[in-house]
Amino acid sequence: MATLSFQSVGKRFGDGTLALSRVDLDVKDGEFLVLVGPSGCGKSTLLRSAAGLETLTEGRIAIGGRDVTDLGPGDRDIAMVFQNYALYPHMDVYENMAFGLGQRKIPKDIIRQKVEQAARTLDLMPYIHKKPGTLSGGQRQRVAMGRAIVRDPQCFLMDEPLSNLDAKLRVQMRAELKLLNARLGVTTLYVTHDQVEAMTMGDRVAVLRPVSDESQSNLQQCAAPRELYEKPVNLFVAGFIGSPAMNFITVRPVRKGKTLRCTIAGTDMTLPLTPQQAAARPFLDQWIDRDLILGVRPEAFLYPNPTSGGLRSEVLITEMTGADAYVFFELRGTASNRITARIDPRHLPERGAALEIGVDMERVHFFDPGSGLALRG
Amino acid sequence: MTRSVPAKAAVYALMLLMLVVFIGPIFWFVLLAIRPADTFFTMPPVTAFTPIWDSVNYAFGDPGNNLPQLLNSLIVAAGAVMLNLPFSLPAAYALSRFRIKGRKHLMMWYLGLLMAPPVAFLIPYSILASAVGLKGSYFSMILILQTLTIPFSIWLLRSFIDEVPVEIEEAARVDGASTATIIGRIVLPLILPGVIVTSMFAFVFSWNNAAFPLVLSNRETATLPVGTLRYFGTAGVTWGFIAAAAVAAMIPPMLIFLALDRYVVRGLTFGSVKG
Repeated sequence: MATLSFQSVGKRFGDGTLALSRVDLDVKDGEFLVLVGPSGCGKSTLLRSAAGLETLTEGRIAIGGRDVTDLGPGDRDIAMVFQNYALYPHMDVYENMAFGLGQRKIPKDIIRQKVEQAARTLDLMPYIHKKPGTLSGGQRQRVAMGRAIVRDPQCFLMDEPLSNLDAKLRVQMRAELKLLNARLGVTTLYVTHDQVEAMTMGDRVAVLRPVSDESQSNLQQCAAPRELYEKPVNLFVAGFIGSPAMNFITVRPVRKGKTLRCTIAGTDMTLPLTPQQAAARPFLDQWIDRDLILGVRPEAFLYPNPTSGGLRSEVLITEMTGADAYVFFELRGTASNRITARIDPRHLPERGAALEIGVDMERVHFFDPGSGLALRG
Repeated sequence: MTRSVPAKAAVYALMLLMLVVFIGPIFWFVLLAIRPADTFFTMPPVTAFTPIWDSVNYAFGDPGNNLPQLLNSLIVAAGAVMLNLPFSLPAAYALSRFRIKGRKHLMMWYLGLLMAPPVAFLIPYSILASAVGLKGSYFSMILILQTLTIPFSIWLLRSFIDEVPVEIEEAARVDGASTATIIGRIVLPLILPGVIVTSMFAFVFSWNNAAFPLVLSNRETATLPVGTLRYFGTAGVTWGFIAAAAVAAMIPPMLIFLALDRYVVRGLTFGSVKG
């Protein structure tokens, strides 16, 4: 059990590609931290650097306070689970799990004890003398976990371990993995591109994005899932976390007498704020008559519309998922702005019908169009 | 797919013709070893005769000049395989896994070595071997055969190593294994079919090679192909003895291919698809 910390980590590949830049991140003792981001955001490279499979060009990595930057993968006391499991195909389940212990010159009877204990934990005893090729995807995944567990490492590194499983098994393994982590309490760094996986599994989630030069950092925000969803720090995190994604609309706050309202650029549509809502966002006063970006999650729309303002359009298509329904529409006057709103399926409008929909201004986000940073009062 | 009877017949006729072209000469040679001398070249060929074992007996029984040569061939071919693997396996591993500058050129250079006429190496090498007193030894033959076997083996083994997912090696590194352990305990067992097929080819290439031993061997270390050639004497060509020795020389490669043919097919498709 240990902390895992990255200090201003940077990595440029031999071909000149900048993969990582200025990443500062601390995984706390026993924490399950998920790295998430689009492809090319450096999440796998960061994980592989922690494993020692990539060498850094900048910065340091410490595990449990010990600087491991210059140590090889075998000397870092970490265990890794790979996307394709990377089991040794010519060894049976027992040998796969025992291999790492054998490399550390641990006595045979202790190895046997540890492997059998892990195999029991993971329900692998019936397959203990089978080769990986004869096992199902879920079983292989558990062997890969077992190989990590028996080593009693300081931390687990997991590189999209569930992405090769089918959807149903993935949901099941997600829960199992989370339970296992809670039981063992091992510090875990987990990479995924699936934000549902990130949000459901992580104690904290770190959102990464690709960088183009050394002045930027891959790390956008690292926070608990709920905070990430409710208080994204910038447009990237706001747009990446949440499915369907947050809608962005360019608006201009105007003050008419006592009331503050946001007008939609180029239209006569307005979104009024109640005095309480305006008071909660004092920063809006500095943005009067200037464009800023309004972020509205699909569930922050109100339909039927109880407010005096709102958006007017016509229904492009609707989607019915069972518990929820989504309506897609275009917002005229804002360049190619397609909006997704979640509505109560009981009020599902017809395709092509005129639509008037309100926005719950209590739950919206404002962003500086220049820097992309979230504005908070 | 169903075919008409004439089409089927044509296919079978074509297959039979090919069989005659490939197997015919071998079959004729086998008969040559056991037929009476006066029926060697009669036209039309004599098809009915009582087999006699004089030629076979002369080659391998009494005086049996070819028997030690059979052993020599075995020593040289097996030696060539054993010297081959310790060099070609690490080279193939390095060329598969490490981002070496000019890797492609290096691979092409190996291919070039295979395409060069072997005699081009033979003459300078023969002079060198004489100078260091190696001429006539098994080792001199085993060593020069590497100019054939190593380039070939590196190409074949590399394509097998390329097929091993690199994550498996990374998992082993995280497990604390050294590079030597990874090659020995992870990569080698996984590419064992490739090692077998590579060794087979190296063995057969070395076994069949006549040019190198012809120049480099002496009376005691001559291999079977050289022994076969010796029957082209000044006193005439003794076809029966040639046939007996040549048929004996054909048997080991045939046995090897028969025993290990499943590896051969895999090995050849590996080698041809990747490169």
